[in-house]
Amino acid sequence: MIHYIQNKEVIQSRIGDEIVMLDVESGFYFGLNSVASVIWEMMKEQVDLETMVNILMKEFDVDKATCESDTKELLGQMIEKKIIRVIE
Amino acid sequence: MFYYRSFGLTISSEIYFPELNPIDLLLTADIQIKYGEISNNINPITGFISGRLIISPQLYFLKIEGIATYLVEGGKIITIKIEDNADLNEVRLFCLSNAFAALLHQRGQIPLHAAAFIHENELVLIMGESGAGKSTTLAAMINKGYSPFSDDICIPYFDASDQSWYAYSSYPMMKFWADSFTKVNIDKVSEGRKLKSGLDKYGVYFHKNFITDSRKIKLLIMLEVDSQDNKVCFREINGMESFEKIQEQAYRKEYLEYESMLKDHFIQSTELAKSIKTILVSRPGNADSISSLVEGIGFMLNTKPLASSDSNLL
Repeated sequence: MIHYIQNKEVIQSRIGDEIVMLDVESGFYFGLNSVASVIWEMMKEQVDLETMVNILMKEFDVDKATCESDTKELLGQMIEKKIIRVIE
Repeated sequence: MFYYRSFGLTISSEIYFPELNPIDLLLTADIQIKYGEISNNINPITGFISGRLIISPQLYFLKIEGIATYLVEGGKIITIKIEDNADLNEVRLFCLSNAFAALLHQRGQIPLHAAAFIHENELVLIMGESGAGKSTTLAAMINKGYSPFSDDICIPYFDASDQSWYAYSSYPMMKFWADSFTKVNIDKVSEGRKLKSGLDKYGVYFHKNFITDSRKIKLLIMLEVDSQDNKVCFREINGMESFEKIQEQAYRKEYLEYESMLKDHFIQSTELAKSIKTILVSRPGNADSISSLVEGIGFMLNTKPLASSDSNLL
């Protein structure tokens, strides 16, 4: 099963319920909104998609299909930005 | 040799700087400014390198045609080679802006492009894009009786002993365009002088009121010009919005990546955004809006607490 985990090298700071991050290579900043921040925090230790979706469905009023596809999309963006790693 | 205390540093200088705050003879100074020859063959391992500008973590080189060449090393020494017939006002101005920015960065500090005045012995910082009205607002606050702290640059640092942010001023000079200069109360500042021939900008000193020590930062006012709106608006900003605007105002921000300071800048900007109350003040483009703006700032400072997070003042 595929697991996801935070890249420990990421430079981040929590501001309120958002998290701002620095991409040192490009010098650009980007932010995670409150929902993305929750997903990010779940990956402090390695975690699989199904576990994340189950937690999210309890926290937010969303159906499983939407939650799963939205989460997958966010994970894809995070992989692209190299802020998380995939463990097969 | 001349001795100064400015930018939170003690300075020994072979060059006379009327803009800086003079002090008595020093045995050792934090930094030295000297005349000297500067090699054209400088090759640091990393950084930005061109014929006229080199920016790297502990070395900075700037050559301005017709004015001077500057070399800043190790956060301790500024060497200046002045060209023949150079306008000395301009030689000093480039030193106080660009060379000192590099020097402070080399010392691990990240100055902000901010004006500041004193309220109840603490600082109110005024930030914003060029043209937003920082210096003009500062001048107007001085007319209302507030003491100037800095016009252009504030150097922040975190004091762990009381978990608060403080800042040093740069030096006791304000710069104004001719039209706003005439409105400044000259009891608090001395006569102005033209900064650059051909430019209608004036330098005005405030040596007798200058504070060489740091003061705690109480409030940050972020100025914006919003030509869509016809009134002055005050809004407290937080979080990401506050961070985005604060990080934009690092002085000579473009140097930081070549000096390997992006991470330090990020940390400073996030911590300031989290710790310091920030009010976004947007005003219409006309010069008259400054007086409404200043009325609003005065009202806000002398009314505690701010009644709601949104106030529209005409």
